[in-house]
Order: sequence, then structure tokens, then C-alpha cells
Amino acid sequence: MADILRYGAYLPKHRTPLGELQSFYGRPGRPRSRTLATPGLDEDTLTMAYEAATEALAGERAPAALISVSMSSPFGLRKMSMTLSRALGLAADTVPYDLGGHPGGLMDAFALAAALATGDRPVAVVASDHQVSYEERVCDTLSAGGAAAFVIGASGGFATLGPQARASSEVYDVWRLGNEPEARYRLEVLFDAYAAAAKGAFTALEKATERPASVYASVAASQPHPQTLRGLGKLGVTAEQLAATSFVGEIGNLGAASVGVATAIALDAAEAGQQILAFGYGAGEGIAQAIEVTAAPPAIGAAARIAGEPIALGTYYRWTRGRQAEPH
Amino acid sequence: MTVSAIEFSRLGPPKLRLYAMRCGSCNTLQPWWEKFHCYACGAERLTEEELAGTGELTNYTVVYYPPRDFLGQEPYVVGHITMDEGVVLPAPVVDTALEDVQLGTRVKATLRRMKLGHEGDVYYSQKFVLDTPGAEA
Ligand SMILES: [Zn+2]
Repeated sequence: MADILRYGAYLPKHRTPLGELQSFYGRPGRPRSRTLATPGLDEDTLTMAYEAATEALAGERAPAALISVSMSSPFGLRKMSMTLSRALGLAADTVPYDLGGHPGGLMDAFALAAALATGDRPVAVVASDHQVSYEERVCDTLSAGGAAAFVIGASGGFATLGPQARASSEVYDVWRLGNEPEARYRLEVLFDAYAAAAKGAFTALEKATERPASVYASVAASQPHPQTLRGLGKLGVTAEQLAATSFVGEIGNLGAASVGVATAIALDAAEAGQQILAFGYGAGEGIAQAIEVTAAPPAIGAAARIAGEPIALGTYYRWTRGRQAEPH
Repeated sequence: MTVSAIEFSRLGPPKLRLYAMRCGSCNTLQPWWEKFHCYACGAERLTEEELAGTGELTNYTVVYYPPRDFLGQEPYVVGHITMDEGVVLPAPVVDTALEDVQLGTRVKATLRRMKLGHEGDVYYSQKFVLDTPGAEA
């Protein structure tokens, strides 16, 4: 058991109108998201992680470890946790951990943080992602960027990390070709896998907690696609439980940051005594995390950040073209 | 000790932390680039001191035709920030509408990309955003 002491979230300010983008590329159909939360040209996973972590660590004790979760450039070959630790001015003995590989990694980070946190020093966990989609494929992944950060302590927080349950299966149907910045995937396989992983993880969590999905005040889920959220309905998750935390239809898929931003929004709205279910999903694995809110959370107003400032299509195009020449 | 080119570059303006130089003789705070000379008393011993990151915009201009490193980000604000510690630093102010900026606007430091090196390496540095009490980070 461990506690959430504080948290932070960051969404870039710029909103790309997805409908306009689709019609520009002659793509039929209704856009899956109203806009994309598009990082500016001077933003990336490090700068967004810095923003979220700065908010979460304000006034907190020096963490013993910093766990960074990301799947996107420019830290494919370097330790983002180490650079982030320096940027945040953390003590030299802060142990840097990095997790990647799938967008549900924040839940892995919670488990690791709970094991590492001591009574004296908490552990900071940051998920930050910017999966770049561009050009004619831009409408498929709804890529966007964002970050969320949590400070996990052994005790003394406003919420307790309860049992975690997972369902894992191998899904190989997501890959990258050559220098392509955007992953290729078989959407139908990922949809099926999301449903199966959610079912497995929710069932296992119900067994561990003896609580059905209906007891949670809200469900904060990874949001690769609006349809996946609707799929949670089959598991007894109501529209009401998802109402506050659903943003993929507004700002797109935030990758590894998705479940973190949703959890921050859920915590903002939570009251003492309520339960929250965080559901991280990626590449065939679903991880359900029960969170018990024990005192009023130090709300950060994360939901208000979903609204942003629209940018012109030409601006989006210039920025995404620029990203293609980026280091990985 | 071998110093990497990227590490070396962080000794200049691209850097991960915001600091200024404190004069060991007269205690004046100088900008980060005054490593060896105090303009208040002429002393040569200055030490790095971290800044809290908050300050006030005391002079600014709007850039419509940027240098190559900033192409695509125009129009943007570049200004003199008088830090709460007293030292004046030049820096971009980002993520703001031009009409929301004026002399006296409170700003706070954040980390952003400053440029890409000619080999594609990323240089980070401090830029500033509006510091509105109670507003989102
Ligand atoms: Zn002096």
C-alpha cells in the first residue's frame, strides 16, 4: 500500500481542428476527436514532463526516485528520467528509472513507486508522451501530447493506491517502419484486445477488492480511441463514471499520458471516502488500479485545461513537418 | 574529464536550470553570462545561484521575422524579465496572445526547446509563460 501525496498534469495549449484536417486530406467520415492537443514546436516529452512534475513536486519532499514513462522521441536512446531529474534540480542521489514499451506504463510505475517509497522520501512518477502523426495518416491515430505526474509516498497522502490487477496477452500488431514517426497497427486487433484486457483486468480487480465496477465514483481510463471507452460499458461502467474523465473525443490520444491525465481529472473531482478506478491499457495489456480517496485532494483544475486555443491548419502542418526531421 | 559537445553547450544559454551569478565581493546578482566580471564592482569571483523563476516583464518586443532556430513559432514575444531576485534576463515569453502581454506582466520560467543543433541534437533552455495566480500551470 502507498499513498498519492500530490499530482500534476500538463496539456499543451494548442488545439488542431481535426475536422478541417480530415477534409484537407479528403478523408471521409466524422472526425473521431474534435481537436488534437498539439504540442508547440518548442515542446516535447521532456518539457511537458517538466511542467507536470513541477506542479506535482511543488512543496513536496525530495523524491528518492524519479520514474519516467514515455514512448516517444526524443528520448528513445537516452534516459529521460536523468535529464528530467537535472531539469527539476532534484538531488544527485535521486534514482532515475525509465519505463516504455506501452501506454499503460504509468500503472507499472505506480507499482514500482509503491515498492520504492519510504517514510522519509516519496517517489515521483511522470508519464509524458507525444506520438506524432502527420501528413495523410494524421486522422488515424488522433495523436496528441500531454503529461501527468504523481508523487507517491509510503503514507500520509490524500488517497491510497489499493489493489492492482492485470490481464496480459501478446499483441504484436503495432509496429514502426524505418524512419516513420507514426506507428502502424491493426486497429481492429487493438480494439478487440482493449475489450479483452479490460474485461480480464476488471474481473481480477473485482476478485481482489470484492467490489464491482459500479462502486467507483469515476473510471479514469487509457483512451486510445473514443470507441474503446464505449466498450467499457459492457463491463458495467456507466457513462456517468466516464463523463468527467473522457477527453479523447475532445483532444485526442495522449499515449502514455492518457491514463495519467484522466486520473488527475478524476482525483480533482473526488471526495473523501470515494473510490476511483484507473485503467491503463497498451499493446494487449490492461492494468486496473483501485484508488481510495481518504481526504479532499489538492485539486489542480485539470479538466479546465482540456479547452485550449485553436491553431490554423497551416500552423499544424508546419509543426508536424518539422517533427519529421527530429532526432529519436 | 571529457566534456561532451552537448554538455559544453549547456554552459552557455541552453541550459536545464535557471541561474544567475552572485558577486563574491559586493553581493550583486549578475546575468548568467557574467562568469568572470562583476559590472557593479569589477570583482572576478562570481558563483552560480539558482533563481526562483518568477519575475516581471519590464521591456519587450514582438518578433514577426524570426531567426532560423525560431521559424514556425512567430509571432512571439521576447523581453527583458526582471527576476524577483533583481537581475534582468532576456528570454522569450511563450503560449500567450500578444494582447495579453504588457509592461509589468508577471511571468514564470518553464523549460522549452530553444533550438535544434545542426546535427539534430535538441537544446533546451528557459522560456517564460504568464504567471497568473489561480490560473492553470
Ligand atoms: Zn561585485
